[in-house]
Amino acid sequence: MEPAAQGEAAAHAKTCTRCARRLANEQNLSAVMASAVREDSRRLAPAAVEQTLLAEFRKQHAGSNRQRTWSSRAGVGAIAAALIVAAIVGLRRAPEQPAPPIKQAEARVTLPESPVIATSAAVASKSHGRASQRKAPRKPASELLAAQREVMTDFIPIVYDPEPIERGQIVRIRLPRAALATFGIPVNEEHAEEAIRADVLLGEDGLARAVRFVK
Amino acid sequence: MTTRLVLAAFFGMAAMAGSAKAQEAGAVVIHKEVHAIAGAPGDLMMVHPEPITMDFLGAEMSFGDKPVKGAPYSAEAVTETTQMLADGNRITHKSNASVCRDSAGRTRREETISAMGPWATGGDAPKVIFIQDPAAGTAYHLDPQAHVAHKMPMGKGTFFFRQTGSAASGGQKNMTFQRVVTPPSGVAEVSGAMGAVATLAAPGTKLSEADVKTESLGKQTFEGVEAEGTRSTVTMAAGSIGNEMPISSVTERWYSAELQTVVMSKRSDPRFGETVYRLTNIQRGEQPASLFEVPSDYTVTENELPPLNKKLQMIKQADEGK
Repeated sequence: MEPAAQGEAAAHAKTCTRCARRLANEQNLSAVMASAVREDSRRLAPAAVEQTLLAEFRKQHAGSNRQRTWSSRAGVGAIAAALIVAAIVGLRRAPEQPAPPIKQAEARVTLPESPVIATSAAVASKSHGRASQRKAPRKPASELLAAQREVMTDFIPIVYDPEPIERGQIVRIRLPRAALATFGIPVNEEHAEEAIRADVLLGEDGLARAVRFVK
Repeated sequence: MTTRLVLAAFFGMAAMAGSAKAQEAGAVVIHKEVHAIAGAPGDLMMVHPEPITMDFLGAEMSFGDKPVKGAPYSAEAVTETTQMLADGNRITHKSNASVCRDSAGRTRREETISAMGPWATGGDAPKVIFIQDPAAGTAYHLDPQAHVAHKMPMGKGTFFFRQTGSAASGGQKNMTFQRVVTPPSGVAEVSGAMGAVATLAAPGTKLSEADVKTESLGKQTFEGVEAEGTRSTVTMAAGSIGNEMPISSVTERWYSAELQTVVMSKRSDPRFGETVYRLTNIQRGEQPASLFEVPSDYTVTENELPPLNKKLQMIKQADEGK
């Protein structure tokens, strides 16, 4: 604190009881701390202990240095050897396998169809961008499975067969959204040709009995 | 109506998001109009201007825990589907399947899926083999092209139409398709292999007592096998699914008590056309055990999700290439 400000504060403390008490407490605390520091400065470890500690530290430090040097040299050697081998193999194979055309190099990888319900975690990840995706910890399998949850309708009958279906299969198909209209579900004409997924319940005879639509 | 709106919102969410700009500008989203014209049972009507095609992605699960023991047979199952277009044109599909069952109740069905219900296969019809062993609780979907056997979850239970409500509540019954299936162990839901965890209500059809009629057709012999016939007629009242007039769906079913299976059936629905199923070349007798086992040169996989996603990826790439 500057001397001028310190003078003003001291003058204020003379007129304000509350500030005067606070100033006195802080001065006492400072005095106690200074006394403790003075006492601790006289307490020293025996010279033998210090020497032993220093000797042990130097011994370990030197060992780790030697180890690091050896491993780094081995690493550099391995990389150099790998580069040499790769160069030789590359040179030998170059005439047999011409470089792929640019079109192939630009071929995109199509990811499998994404889960239909965006989880809150997925939304958050998208909003944070690439950096947060890199930092994101790997999710356990149970979480990934949960992210692939589907929403589906109940089974809608294709035929009204009064007999129970005791054996059969449920198979998954893909069909245009326009198929929904057959079951009385309104369809947006603009997107009637877009694909949706559905599960079809087949009886033992292989005939379709009911369908449910999946999102 | 509310349910229909929920479903429309559910499936049309993405589509509506795309057309949100148009809606903001005051444009009206036009929904596809369905004109279902009623007719006498057997009359055929196709409601779409063009046939709708589908792609087979894979088998999800198998169900059935009641093996039919002591009635082995093999047969050829022939299914013929006929749909009449609004312009008078006619679409027919015929598919054959080899079916057999051994005395232990194991079944095998080998077919080329050219159609499923009212939908024909869009591209190359895939050949599939289903093997089911209810006693052991195992089922496989074999892909002969890839030589892969997908082990399917095996559910226990029965699917049936459940009528809710009573005559006291206005004489109307809400008929929806319900399942009573015990999921396989370790599977969260019936189709747990696909990650299914949620369901939405589907539009039920309100039917009164008088709307469902069942009558006996007596006994008849098919391919040397005696069968008992029943005819069920379900009439959906006008307005059930947006139809202006009642829709009649008729099912004829001939069941053999000896083979404990349906040997012939005929289904007529103006929405989907007519489907005739019959067993031909029925041979009674024990079947080779090898038919019900996964061939040794097949790779068995238990995880259904990757193959399905792979299939979807292939279809997507094919679509992009068009």
